[in-house]
Amino acid sequence: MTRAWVVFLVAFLAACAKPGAGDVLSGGESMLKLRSAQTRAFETTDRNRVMRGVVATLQDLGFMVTGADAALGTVSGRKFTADSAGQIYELRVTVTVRPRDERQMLVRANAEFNNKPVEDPAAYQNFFNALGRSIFLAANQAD
Amino acid sequence: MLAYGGLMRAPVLACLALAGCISEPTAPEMLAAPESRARPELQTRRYDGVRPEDLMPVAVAALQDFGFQVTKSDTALGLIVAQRGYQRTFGEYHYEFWQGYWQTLRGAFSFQWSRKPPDPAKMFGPAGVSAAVSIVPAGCGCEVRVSLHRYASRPTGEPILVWAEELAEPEAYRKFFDLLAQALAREVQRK
Repeated sequence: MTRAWVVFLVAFLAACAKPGAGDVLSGGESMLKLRSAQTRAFETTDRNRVMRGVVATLQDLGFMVTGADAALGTVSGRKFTADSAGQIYELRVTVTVRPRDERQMLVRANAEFNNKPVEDPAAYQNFFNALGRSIFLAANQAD
Repeated sequence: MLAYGGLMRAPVLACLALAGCISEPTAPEMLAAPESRARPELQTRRYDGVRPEDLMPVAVAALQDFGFQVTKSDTALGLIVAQRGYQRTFGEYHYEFWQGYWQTLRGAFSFQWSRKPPDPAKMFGPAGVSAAVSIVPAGCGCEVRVSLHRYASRPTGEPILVWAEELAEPEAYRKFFDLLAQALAREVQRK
């Protein structure tokens, strides 16, 4: 009987524990894999050309472009859709463009689907396929 | 007994089958390139002999003519983002009210694993239109692309977006480009 109370007390107190920063900012091997899926290198030195391509790609995909900063190299967009039951789904995307070396530009896209990070490499592959077509350049795996 | 058991299971299986019919969209689907090229063509016009930096203020003037407020712009990139409020017509309001009502009823009487809320955009949130105008160099002039989205904010009134859909009506894009041409003609006359 005493043991049951101890188990109950431990379970009760465990529920009071707050998640630490480690849970919020988790990383590790999965983060490296995700970064690799999110990043492509393009054989060009023209940053503005790539950024304009990103804007055009988001417009092609039906995104609402919400902001862009050429100096920082970021473009953001949002897209909504609904299923047949009326449930709404939102996809947010931020794309950054920065020089990798004297020959290449590095493009990284990160997406959030209904407030959860998108970890499916197929989603990023689809985006980079569309971007490659838009700027007439082949996307190379960065890592 | 066996027949009775089968009879009892049939509605459960039917409900499960119906629940399975609601297909949820996924991120890869939403990032896949559309097959049709009709919309980009509808959204794009080319202006020969006009530099992008000259067309930027003209596009802003055209947006102002429509009552848009410019919320973000980047000259280096040739991008203008603007928004304006949108007053629903009585017909639209009526339609959206009954659609929301129908969705609520359907949610209450259909078998679902979790209760799906009705589409808030189809209810009462303040509505608006967002325009993203992109002006890029093309040949000896420039190319203008505008994408228009109708959006709805949270029904409680905060400016938090809960829904947006791209406008597909060619009329909206034609009107924008007509006004842009008029603003461009005024600018040429002024110079």
